[in-house]
Amino acid sequence: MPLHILILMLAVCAALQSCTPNKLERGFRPGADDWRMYGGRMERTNAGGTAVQPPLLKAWEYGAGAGFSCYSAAIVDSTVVVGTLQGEVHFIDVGTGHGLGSHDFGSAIVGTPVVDKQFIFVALAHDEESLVAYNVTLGDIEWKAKIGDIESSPLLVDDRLYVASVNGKLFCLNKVTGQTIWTFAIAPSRQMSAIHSSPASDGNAVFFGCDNGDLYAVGLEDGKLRWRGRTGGSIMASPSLSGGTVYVGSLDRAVHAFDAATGRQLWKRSLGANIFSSQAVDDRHVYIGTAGRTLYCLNKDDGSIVWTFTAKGGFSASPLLSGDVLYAGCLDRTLYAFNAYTGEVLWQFKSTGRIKSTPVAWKQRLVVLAEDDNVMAFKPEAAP
Amino acid sequence: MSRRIATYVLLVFLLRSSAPSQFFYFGRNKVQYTAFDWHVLKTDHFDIYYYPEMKDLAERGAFMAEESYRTLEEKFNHNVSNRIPLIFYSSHLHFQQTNTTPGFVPEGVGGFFEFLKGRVVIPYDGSMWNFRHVIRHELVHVFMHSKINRVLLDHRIAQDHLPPLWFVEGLAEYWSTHWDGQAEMVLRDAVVSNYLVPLSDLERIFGTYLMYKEGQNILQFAAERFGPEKILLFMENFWKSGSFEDVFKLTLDRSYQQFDEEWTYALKKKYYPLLASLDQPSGVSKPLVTEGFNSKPVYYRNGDRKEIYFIGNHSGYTSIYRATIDSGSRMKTELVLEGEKTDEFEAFHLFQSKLDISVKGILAFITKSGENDALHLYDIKNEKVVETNRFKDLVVLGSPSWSPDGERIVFSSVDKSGNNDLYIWDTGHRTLERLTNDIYDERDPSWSPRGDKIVFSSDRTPYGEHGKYNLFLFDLNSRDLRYLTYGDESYHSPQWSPDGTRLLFTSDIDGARNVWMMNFDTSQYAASRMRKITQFTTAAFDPSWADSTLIFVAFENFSFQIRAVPDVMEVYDSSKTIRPLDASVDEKPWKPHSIAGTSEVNSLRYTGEYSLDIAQSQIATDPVFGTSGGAFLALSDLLGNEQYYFLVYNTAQTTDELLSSFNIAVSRISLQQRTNFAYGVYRFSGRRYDLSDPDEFFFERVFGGYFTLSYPLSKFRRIAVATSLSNSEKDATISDLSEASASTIDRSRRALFLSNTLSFTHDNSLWGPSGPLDGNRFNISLAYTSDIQYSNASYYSVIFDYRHYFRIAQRSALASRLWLFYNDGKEARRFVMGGSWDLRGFPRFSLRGKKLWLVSNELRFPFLDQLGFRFPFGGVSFVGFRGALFFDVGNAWDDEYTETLGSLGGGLRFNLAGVLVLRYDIGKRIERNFTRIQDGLFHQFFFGYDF
Repeated sequence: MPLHILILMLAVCAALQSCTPNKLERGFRPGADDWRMYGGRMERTNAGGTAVQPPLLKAWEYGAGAGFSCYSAAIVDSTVVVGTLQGEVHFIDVGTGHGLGSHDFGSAIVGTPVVDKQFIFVALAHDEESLVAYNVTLGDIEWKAKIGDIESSPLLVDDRLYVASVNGKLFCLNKVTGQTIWTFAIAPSRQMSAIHSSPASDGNAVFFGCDNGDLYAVGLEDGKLRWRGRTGGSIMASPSLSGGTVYVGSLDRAVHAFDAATGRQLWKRSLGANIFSSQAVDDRHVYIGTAGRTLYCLNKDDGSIVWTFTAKGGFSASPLLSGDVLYAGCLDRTLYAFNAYTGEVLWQFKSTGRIKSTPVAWKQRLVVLAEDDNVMAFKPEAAP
Repeated sequence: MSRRIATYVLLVFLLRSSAPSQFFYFGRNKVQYTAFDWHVLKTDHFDIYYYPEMKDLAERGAFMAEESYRTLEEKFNHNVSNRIPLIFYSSHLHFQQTNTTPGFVPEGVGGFFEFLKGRVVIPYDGSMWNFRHVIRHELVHVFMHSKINRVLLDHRIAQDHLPPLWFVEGLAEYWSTHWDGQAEMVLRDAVVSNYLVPLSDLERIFGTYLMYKEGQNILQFAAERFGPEKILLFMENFWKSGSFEDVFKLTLDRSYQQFDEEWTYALKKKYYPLLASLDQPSGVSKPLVTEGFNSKPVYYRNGDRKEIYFIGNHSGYTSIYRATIDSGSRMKTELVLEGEKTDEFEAFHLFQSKLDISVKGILAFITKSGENDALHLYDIKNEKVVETNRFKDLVVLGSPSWSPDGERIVFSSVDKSGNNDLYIWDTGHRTLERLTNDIYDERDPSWSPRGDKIVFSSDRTPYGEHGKYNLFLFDLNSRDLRYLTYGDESYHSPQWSPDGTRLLFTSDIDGARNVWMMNFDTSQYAASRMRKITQFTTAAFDPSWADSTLIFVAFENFSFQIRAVPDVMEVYDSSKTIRPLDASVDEKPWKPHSIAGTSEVNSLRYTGEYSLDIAQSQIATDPVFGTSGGAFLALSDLLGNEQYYFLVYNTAQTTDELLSSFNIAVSRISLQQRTNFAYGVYRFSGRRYDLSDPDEFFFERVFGGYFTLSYPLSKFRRIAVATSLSNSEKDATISDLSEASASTIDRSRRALFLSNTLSFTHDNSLWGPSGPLDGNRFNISLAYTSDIQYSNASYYSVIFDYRHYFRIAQRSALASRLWLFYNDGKEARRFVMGGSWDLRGFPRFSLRGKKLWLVSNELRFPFLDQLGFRFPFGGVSFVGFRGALFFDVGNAWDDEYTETLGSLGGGLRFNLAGVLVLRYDIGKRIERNFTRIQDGLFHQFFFGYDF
C-alpha cells in the first residue's frame, strides 16, 4: 500500500476515534446511590451515598479538555456527567472511565448539571438563554430559558427547577416545558446583588446566599420571601440544610446557622479566614474548609470546633462525607481522606493539579475533578 | 553595562552585514561595581537570593514574604504552584546593578516583578515597613498573574492578555498597603486642583504615580461601595470578555462612565469641604521657585545676598540650583552644579537627601558617584568643590548636617547590611564615628546650634512597625537617646532655628503632612506642645529657616514648589492648632520577625539556574534569497548574569544544499563582573549581497569566532576591545541569481580574516520623545582587518562620531553631529549614506564610499502637543508631534573626492506608543559643491529616532 494512502487512512481512523457522540443510547435509570445534582440531594448536604473506604487506588483518568468550577460532577446510572468551564458536558462510564459522549453548550458551565431520566439541565455562565434542557437520547436541546448568566448549580425539586442568576434573581421553572412559574428578585441596592450561591431546599422553602451578604429563604411554591438572614460578608458559598437548620459560610470569615423556619440566627462561628467553600453536613457535624488552609469539623448544634486540620493550601470546595470518611480536595493539590469523627488523616493522594471541586462518591467509586483538566476515579484497594 | 554587548551580539546575528551598525554603538553603562556572593534561602514558597552581608535582612524579608503569601492566598482564593524567586538587594544602589532587567532602574522604582522568569526583585531602603509593603506589592502581581492565567486556562482561552495597568498596579497597592498620607496628598490635590483623571480616561496617565494611586482608590471605592468580593470577581470574570471595560461592567453593573459619575462625586463630597478650613499653598504663601520639581531648600546669607540652595529638576537632569530671595518678584534660578552628566555627580537623590551649609559657607551634599554615594563639600564663595569623601562599606548616604563650628557633619547611611544609621564625619581629623547601629531607620539628622544634640526622625517606636516615624534627640555628651515625640503618626525633616530654641518639622498628625513647630525649654531641651504652622489641603515638606521666614516645599497641582511664609514666629503665636507633646513611652521598641525562628530554612550558595528567555522559530521568504527557516534560543541564569544565545537556520534552496547551508551561531555573554565579555563561534553559509556599485551578490561560507571585552569607566564612558577570526569563502558564480546581477559576480576569493577593534564611547545624553535633547555622545573606533592566510584583504578603519545637543528650552534643542569614517586598504568595506537617518534628501544608501563625512544640524522643538478627532461614535487623539529644521552637509567617496552635497528642510516626528518614531521630512537637496539647489522638494518618510 502506498505510504500516503496509509497515512490518510490512519488520519481518518484517528479523527473518528476522537469524535465522541453527542447522544447516549438510553436515558438514565434512577438508583439508590444517584448523585443527581450538586450536594447529592435538595438539602445540598454533600453527604451520603455508599461509603468508599480508603486507602484508594486510582481506577481511571479522563481528560475533559478544560477546567472545572468548585462544584462537582453528577453520577447517575453508572455515568459521570460533568460540565467544564469550556462549555462541554462529558458523559463518562464510571466503571471504566471511557467517554460515552459529550455535547458543547457554547458557554462555561459552572454549576453541576441536574440529571433527570433522559434529560440533563445545564446552567451556562455567560449566555442569554442560559438554562438548557438537553435530551441525551436524542442528542438535542429540549428547551432553553432566558435566565441570564448563571454561576451556581440548579436545584430540582419534584417537577420544578430552581436556579439563581448572577443578576440577582431566583427562577422557578417547569422542568418539562421550561416555562417560568415564578421569579423572586432581590431588592435593588447600591451594592450589586449578584448570586453565586446555589439554592438548597428543605421541601418548604428555597435557601440561597447573595453577594450582598444576606441569606434568603423563599417559599418553594409561591416564590415569596419568608425571611432574610444577615451575615457580615458576601455569601459566595451554598447553604446546606439539616434538621431544620440552614448552614452557610460567608466572607465575613464565619459559618452561620439559621433556623430554617424563622430565620433566627442560632449560632455563628468565626473561623478566621474567608470561606468560599460550601459544607458537608451529617447528623452531628458540619464540615467546612477555609481559604486560610484549615478544614473544620464543627458541632452542628452550637458551632463549637470538634477538630481541625491545616493543609498547605486553601480549601475552595465543599468536602464530601462518604459514610464515616470525609474527603476534601485542597489547593495544595492533595485529596485528603479523614476519619470524620476524629479528623485523623486516613489517606491522601497528590495530584498534578490543584483540587478545587467537590468529590462525589458512587458505589465503590470516588470521582474527583482536578485542575489539570482530569476527571479521576478512585476505588478502594480491596474493591474489584 | 552591558546591554550594549547584548545588543551588539544580537545585531551581529540578526542584521544583514550592510546594516548601518554605526547607529547602535552609543548608550550608557549599567556598571557592575560590586561582586555579589549570591546565596539562596529556601522557605516554603520562596527561593530568596541574597548576599551574606544582608543575611539578617534576607531572613526578615523571608518572614514578610511568607506572611504575605498566606494573606494573598486567602484574598485570591488561589495559590501559586511554583516556587517564587525573590531577589533582594540591601540598597537601591545595589539594586541599580541588577542584570535581571536589561534597562536602567530609575531611583523611583521600589521593586519589580518580571513575569518571564517569575522573578521578584526588591531593594531595601532602610525601612522595614516599606520593605514589607514592596514585597507584598510585588507578590500581588505574582498572584494576580497566576490567577488570571489559571482562569483563562480553565476556560481554554489563550493566556495572551492581562487587565489594564491601572487595575494591575491599583490592585497591588490596594492589597499591599493602607491608604496613607502620601496617597491622600496626591488624590486631594488632584480633586481640589481639578486634574483628577476619570477611570474612562486613565490610559492618558499610563504608568504614572497618579495612575497607581487613582487605581488604588478606584478599587477601594468599588470594594467599599459594591462589596469587597467584587475585586476578586474582576479576576474571576476575566474570561468573559477580551475587553476589561466589559468585564468591569459585568462585575459592577456599571460602565466606566457610570462609575466615574459616582466615584468623582464621592471624592468631591469628601474633599471640597476641606477648603473651608484648609488652604491651597498658592493661596497663602509666597512662591520662590515654581518651575520643575524642587526639594530640600537651605538658606544661606552670602554677604548682602539672601540665597537658597536646593535640589531641583528643571531640565531633565537633577541638579543643585540657587535662587536669590531678596527681590520681591519671582526668583530667577541659577544652576550651581549639574547632575547626571559626570562621573562625580552621577545622580542627586531628589526628595531623599537634604543639603546643609556650614558657617564657613561650605555646602554639603550627596551624590551617587561610582559604586556608592559620596559626600561632597562645595565652597560657595569660590564656587568649587573642595572635597569629596567616599566611605568604605557605606553605600547610600543621606541628609548631611553641619555641626555649629563647621568642622563635623552628621549624616545617615545605609551600609551593606541594609541598616540605615547615623554617622559623624570629622572633616578635620578625617574620622568617621557611628552613632547608632540597629535595624531602625534613621533619617533627616539635624545638628543643634548649641552643638550638643542631634535631632532625627526614626521608626524605632512601636508605631514604627506600621511605618510611623517619630523624632528623637541624641545627646552627644551622654550618648543617650530621648523620645521627642511618641505617637501613631509620622514626624519628619526636623530643623533647628538658628538660636536652637525652636524646631520646625512636618507631621501628618491630622491627615495631610504640614509644617509644625515646637518651642524648647532650653535648659531641658523639652517641649510641652507643638503648633501647626501651615494648614494645607495637600502637603508641605522640608521646612527650613531663612532668618525669621519659613521656606519649605509645597505640593500643589502635581508639582513641588519652594514657597515661603514670612515671620514664622508670629504664625506660631497665632496658631490655634495646638497639640500636647507626650513622649512617655508605653512599650518597648518593636522588633521585626525573622523567618529563621518560624520555619525550616536552608541556605545554599547560588550556582546559577538557567531557563529559557526566548525560543522562536521562523520561516522567511525573500524574492532574491529564497526561503530559509530556523530557530533562535536565548538562555540566561536567574540573576541575568550569564546569557547564552543559539541560532540555527538553513538557507538551502535544494536538497543537495541542505547540509552545506546550515547557519549556526553560539554566543555567551557574561555581565557578572564589571568587565563584561562575550565570545562565540559561528558558521554562516548562503547568498549575500554587499552594498556596492552596483550591489554585489555572491555566495559565501564563513566560519569563525569572536571575543569582546567591555570595561565601563563609569555610567557614561567605556572602552571596548574586540577580536574576531573568520574563514570566508566567496563563490565566483551563482546560477540562480538574476541575470542583471550575474555580471557582477566575479569575485571569487578565500580569506582568513583577523579583525581587531578598539573603541571608546561616551554618552550622557538626555532623551526626549523623538531623540536626544541635551548632553553629548562620542565614539571613536579603530580597527584593523587582514587576511592572514591568503592576503586577499588588508584594511584599517577609523570611525569618529560626535554629537552634541545644545538645550535651548525645556523641550527644544539644537543637535549637531559630525561623522568622519575612513576605511582604507585592500578589499576595504564601503560605508553607505543617504536617507532619513543621515544625509536627508538623498535616496537611502545611495551614497557609498570607503571614506565618508557628514555634518548635521537640527533644531528640535515641540510642534503639536495633541491632535484630537471626535466622531459621533467616539474619538481618537494623537499626542506629541515634534518638529525639526535641519541642514546636512557631507558625502562619501572612494579614491577621489567628487563633490560636497547637502540638504535643508523641515520635518515632523511622531512617537508611536513609545516604541517607534515615525519621521517625515520635506526639503531641498543641495548638489554640485553647493552650486545647485533642487528644483522641487523632496519628501522622505521613514522611522527611527533622531540622531
